[in-house]
Amino acid sequence: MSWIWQAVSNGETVFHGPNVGCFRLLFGLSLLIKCGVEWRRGHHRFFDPENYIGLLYATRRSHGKWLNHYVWRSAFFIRFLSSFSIFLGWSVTVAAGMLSVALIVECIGFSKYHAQFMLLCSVSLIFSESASRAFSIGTFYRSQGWTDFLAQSAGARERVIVPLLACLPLMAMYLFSGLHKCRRPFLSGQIAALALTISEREAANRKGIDSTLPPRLRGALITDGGVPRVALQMMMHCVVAVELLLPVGFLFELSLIPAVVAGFALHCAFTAFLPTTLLHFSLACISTYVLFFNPLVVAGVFQ
Amino acid sequence: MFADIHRVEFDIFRFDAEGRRVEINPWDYLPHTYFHMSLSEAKIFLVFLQTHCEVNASGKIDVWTNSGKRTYMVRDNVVDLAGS
Repeated sequence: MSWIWQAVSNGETVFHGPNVGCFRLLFGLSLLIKCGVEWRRGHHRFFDPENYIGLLYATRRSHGKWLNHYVWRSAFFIRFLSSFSIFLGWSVTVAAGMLSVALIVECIGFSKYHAQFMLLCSVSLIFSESASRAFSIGTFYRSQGWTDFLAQSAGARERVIVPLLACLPLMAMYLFSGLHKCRRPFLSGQIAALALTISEREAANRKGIDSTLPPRLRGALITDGGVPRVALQMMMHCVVAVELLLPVGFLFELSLIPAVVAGFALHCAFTAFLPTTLLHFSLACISTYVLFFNPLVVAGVFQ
Repeated sequence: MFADIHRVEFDIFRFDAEGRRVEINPWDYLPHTYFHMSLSEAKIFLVFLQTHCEVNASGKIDVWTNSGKRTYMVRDNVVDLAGS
């Protein structure tokens, strides 16, 4: 069994290691990328009076008119500030709490899978002891040189509940996503081929955002008529197999490295399809992988 | 997010002051991540074009689901539900 399940079964409540610090750093980076992309694409204006998303929300919810453009813009601003704070490791508990509230607002107004996953990750950071110490700006200023900084970060004390709260949603997400995809339209590659074909048709209108694959890759996956090739069908089978096996792979020490490699490859493939949309989500998922590694091994890397 | 397909392709236009046909790009009004759209959301989008953007849209929309495609005609921002 990997260390986290052993710690839980042994009734341990704390451990020493930089895992949560590394997770926080990568997760903070994914949050900042999300804020940057969404600012550039005008997400902060979604609930302005002239916007479609605000109208869609108003037609769906007869009550709950509290979500207006002031609340939406404030939540966006809070999300940016708390993301920056989490990335730097400054007052992480408060920042994670503020981020959770802002992500709840986002999930109510314009729900996305990545926002829900990031919400669960940010909730886990509320309970963290080491997130404000390991690889944080405060530790950097207090330490005497790089060696001391890395040593302090590597030996930070942390609660077991924190990695557990971040890892369980990831495993559940893979499992249920894999089960949901075990259907003929997905496995035959029809859905992916159709999505690619429509995206290509819309490429000019979408101003090139996440619209096209390199021609050679596209040609290897679908025919000119939009019919999925064998390579795409095999890829879809691999996606389902990997998503179903990842939660099992994360359970055991022996299968951890292959699971991490397979998960990394999976997210690289997803991101290749929709880079602007999925980069921050993939990075957030991959940042969670570091929590599965034994803290002693991770600490050894930095000492 | 890749498990299902719920997409709407818009082929809609409006007429300008001189009576010339002008294509409407829905992505000028939609978020760049708005891949999944149902028929009811498309109807609300057409109402939004009329009420908030003062755009009078006509043409057709293709609604894609896992079970296939249905095409609906659009006239003055109203979807004719007798789709093909």
